[in-house]
Amino acid sequence: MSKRYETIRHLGEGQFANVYMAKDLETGEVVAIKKIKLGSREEAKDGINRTAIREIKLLKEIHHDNIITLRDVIGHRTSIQLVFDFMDTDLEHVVKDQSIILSPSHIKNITMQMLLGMEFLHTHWILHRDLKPNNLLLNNMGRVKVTDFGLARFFGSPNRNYTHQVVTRWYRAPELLFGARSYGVGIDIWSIGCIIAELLLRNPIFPGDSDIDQLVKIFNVLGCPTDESWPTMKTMNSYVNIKPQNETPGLNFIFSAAPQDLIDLMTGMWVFDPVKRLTCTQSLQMEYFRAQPYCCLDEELPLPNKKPAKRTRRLEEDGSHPARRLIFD
Amino acid sequence: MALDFWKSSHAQQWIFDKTEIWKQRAEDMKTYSEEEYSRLNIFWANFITAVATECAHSQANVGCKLRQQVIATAIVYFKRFYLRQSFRDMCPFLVASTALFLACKVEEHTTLSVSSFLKNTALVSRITMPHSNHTPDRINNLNYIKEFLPKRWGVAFETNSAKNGVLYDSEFILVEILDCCLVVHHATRPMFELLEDWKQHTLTSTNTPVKDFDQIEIQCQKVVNDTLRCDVGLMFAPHCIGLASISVGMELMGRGEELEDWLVEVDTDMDKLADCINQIYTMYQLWRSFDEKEEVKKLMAKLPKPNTPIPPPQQQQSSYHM
Amino acid sequence: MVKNQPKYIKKKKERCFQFENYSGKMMPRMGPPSSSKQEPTMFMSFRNPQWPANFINRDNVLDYFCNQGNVFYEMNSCNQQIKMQNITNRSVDECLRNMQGIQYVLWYSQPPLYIVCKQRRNNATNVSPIAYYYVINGSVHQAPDMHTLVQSRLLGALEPLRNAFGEVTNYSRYNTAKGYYWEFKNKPSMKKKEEEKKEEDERKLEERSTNFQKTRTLMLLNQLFTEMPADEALEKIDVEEEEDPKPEEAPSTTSAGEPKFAEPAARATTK
Repeated sequence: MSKRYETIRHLGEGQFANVYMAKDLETGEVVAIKKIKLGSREEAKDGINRTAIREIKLLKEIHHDNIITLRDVIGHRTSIQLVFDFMDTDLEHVVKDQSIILSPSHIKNITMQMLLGMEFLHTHWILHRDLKPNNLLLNNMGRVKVTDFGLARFFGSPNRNYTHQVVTRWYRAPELLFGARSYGVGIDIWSIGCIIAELLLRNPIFPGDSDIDQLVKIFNVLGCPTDESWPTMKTMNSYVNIKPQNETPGLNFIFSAAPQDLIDLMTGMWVFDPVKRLTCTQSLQMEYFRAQPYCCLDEELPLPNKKPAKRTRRLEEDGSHPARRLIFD
Repeated sequence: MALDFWKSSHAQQWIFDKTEIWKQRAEDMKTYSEEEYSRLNIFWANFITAVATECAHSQANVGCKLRQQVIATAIVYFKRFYLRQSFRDMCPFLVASTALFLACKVEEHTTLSVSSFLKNTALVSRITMPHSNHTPDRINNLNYIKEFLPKRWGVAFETNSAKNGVLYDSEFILVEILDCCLVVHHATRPMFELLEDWKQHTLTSTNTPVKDFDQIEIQCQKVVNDTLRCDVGLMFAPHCIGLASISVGMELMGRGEELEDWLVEVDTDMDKLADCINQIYTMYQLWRSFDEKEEVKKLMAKLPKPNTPIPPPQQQQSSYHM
Repeated sequence: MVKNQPKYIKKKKERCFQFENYSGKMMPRMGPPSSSKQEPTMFMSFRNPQWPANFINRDNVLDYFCNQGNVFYEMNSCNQQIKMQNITNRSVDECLRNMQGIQYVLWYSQPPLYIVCKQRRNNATNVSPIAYYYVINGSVHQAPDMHTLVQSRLLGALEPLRNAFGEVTNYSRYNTAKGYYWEFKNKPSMKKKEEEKKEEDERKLEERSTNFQKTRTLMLLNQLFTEMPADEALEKIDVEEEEDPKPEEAPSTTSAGEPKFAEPAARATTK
C-alpha cells in the first residue's frame, strides 16, 4: 500500500480483487482500496488486468451520484490498486439480513437509485454487464451506488460481437443464455428486474444451477416465450427448445404483497424480446414511481446491524401486552 | 467514443494550445529543433502503425491485424506521454509498444487471436530487455524485428536503453503519466457523421447526389489517420479535426469547392478550423520532404540515452491525484 | 423534529386516501357508517376448509387469518410483506412493531374465540385501530362497529313500540263532547295489513345482523366496556370525528332506520 493510505482491515474478496478498508492520511477519510489480483502466470503476461483497465477507463470519465467514484489509482510493479469511496454495505448483505424488513418505500427508493445510475450509464452508451445485489453498494447515508465495472464496456458500435458469457448466471437475460452475440441495454434491465424481485422475496428469483436450468427456472415463472412474443428467438446461436411447466403461478401470486404497479414494472423488465423490454428511462416513468407510497428518504434505508429503536423495548418490560397497550398511546 | 466529449477527461485535461505543447516539450527541445521534433512525430506514428500492422504478419499471428482505432489510441497515448515526460526519461520504443499494448486492451480488441497478438506486442517491447527468456517463439519475433526495422529505417534497437524496464512497469508508468485518462475521442466518427451531413445537404440543395462518395470517404479516412502524425490531436476537438480532414481530403481530390456551400452553414470556430487545416498541410509538406531512411538515423543518433530509465513509482504516486 | 413535519402531512393525506377507498371495509370505530357500502363486509365470512377449526390456537390464528382467500385480509398489509420477504427467524409481532402501515394483530383470545385487530401503525408506539374481526370455530366475521350495533339495538327496541302506537291510534277516537276515547272494534282487514308489514319488517331485522351477532355480541360488548373505560374511549372519539367528513347527517340517512318513519311512498323506494 502506498504511504498515503493506511490499511484498516480486509473487507472482502472477489473473483478478481481483494478489497481493504483504509484511511486516507491526507484527508482523514475512510476509503476502500481494491487490490486487483495478479491471477495465473498466463494472465500476468497480459500486464495490467483487463478488468482493472475497464474500471479505470470508464470511472475516470463518468461521474454520477449513483455510481461509485474512483478517487485514485496506485500503481506498483506487479499490482494495481484502485481507491474508491468507502461504502458501508452492499445490497446482498441487506437482502440476507433477516433483521431487516424492507418496506415498499424502501424498495421503491432502492429501485429508483439503481435505475438512475443505470440510466446514466446507458445514456453514455455503457453496458454494465454484471449487475447483481453484490455490485450495488449502500453507504450510511442511504446512497446506492453501482460498482464493479470489470465487465463494463461501450456498446452501440455496429458489427461488433460481444461475448455472451457475461453477467452472473442468476441475473442473466434469456438472450444471453441463448448465446446472443449482439445485445444491448436489455441485459442490464433484466438484471435490475431480478434484483427488485430479490428485494421483495429476499431470495434470488431464478437460482439456476446451469444455463439450461436457468432457462427452465425463468420459464417456470414467466411462461414460455412464443414466436409472437419473441420472433427472433429461434435464430439464436444456442437456442434450445424447453418445455415449460404447464401452469405458471403468475407474478401476482409470487410477489403477493407487491402493488400492481410494481408487478407491471417487473413484467416490463422481464419481457422476453430484448427489443420490447423497458429501458431505464421508460422504467423511471412508470406509474410505480408516481404512486404512493413514495420513496422513503435516503437516510431511512435500513443497514445491516443497525440497532432497532430503543423505545420498542420499553414497552415489553412493563408487562402489558404490547400491541394492546399501544392502541391508546 | 460515445461519452460526452465536452465532459470527458480528453476535453478537460488533454487539449492544449500550441505554446503550451512546446513548453511542455522543453526538455527535448534542448536536443531537437521544432522541425526535427515534427519529423519525429511522423516517425513514431509510422513506427507504431508498422508494429501494429506488419508485426502481425509474423509467424505467430497470421492474419491478425489491429484496427485503426487501436493504432490511433496508441499514438495519442504516446504523444500525451511525451508531453509530460522527455525522451530522456524513458525509451520511446518501449513506450510505443506499451502504448499499443495498452490501447489493445482499452479498445477491447477481442478477437479469437487476440491473446496471441498481445503476447506478440509484449514481445516487441521485450526485445528491449536483455533479460527476457529466449523461447523459440520469442526468438522468431526478435529476429523479425531486427530484420524489419533496419530494412525500413536503418535503425536498430538500443537494447540497453531500458535495462531495468519490464513491460508491466512501463505499462503502469504509462497509465500513471496519462493520469488514467484512457478514453480517447477520435476524429473518425465525427468525420463520418459530418460527411453524411454534407451528403444530405448537397442532395437537398442541389438535387444531385454526390459523385464518388465512396472515394471521398476513403480519402477523408486517410487524412484523418494522417492527422495522427502531427499535433492536432492535442490541440483541437475531434469534430474540428474531422471537419479539417474533410476539407483537406476534398482539396486533395481537387473538389474543394463542392464543400463551400455547406461549410458556410456549419456552426464552428472558423479560426480554429483554419489553424487545424494549416497544421495538417504543414505536416504533409514535411512528410513529403522526409527521407525516412536517411533522416531517422540522424534523429535516432541524437536520441538522449535514458539516464533515469524508470521513474520510481512512489514518486509518481504523489505527483497526481484525481 | 423538523424532518417529521412533512412526514406527518404525508401520512394524513394517505389516511384520507385510504378512507375514501376502503370505507367499505374499514370503519372508524365510533364514526357513522356509510351503511350502503358497509353492509356487505358485515355479512361476509371466511372459512378455510383445509384447516380444521380445532387446530386453531393462539399461535397460529394469525396464520389462519392471513390467507389470500380471506376477504378481510389486505394483500399489501405488513403481515403479507413479512410473509413475502420470508422473514422466518423473528416473531411477526416484533417485525410489525418496526413497520408502518396496515397490520393485523391478535388482540384477544379465549379459545375458541379469537379477536384480530386490523390497525394502522404510524410509528413504533402509535397505532390506530381500523376494524376488529373475530374468529370463532374457524369462521371469520367482521365485528360490527359501535354505531351499527347501537343503531341496531335502538331500532330493535323502537320498532315494537312504534307498531304498538300505530295499532293503538287506530282505536283512538275524538269527539267534542266526550273528548278522547277508545273504540275497540274488530277490523280484520287492517290487522292483516299490519301483520304483513310486521313480517316484512322482521325479516329485515334478521338480515341486519347474523344470528351470532344478535346473540353473542352482548358478551363482547361487556368485554369491551371493561377493557376500555369511558374516558379513554372519549379521546378516541375526538380523533375519529376529525377524520369523519359528516358525522351528524349519517344517522338520519341510514337505510335501516328510514322505512319505519317514512311515508309509504318513501318506503317503496327503499325496497
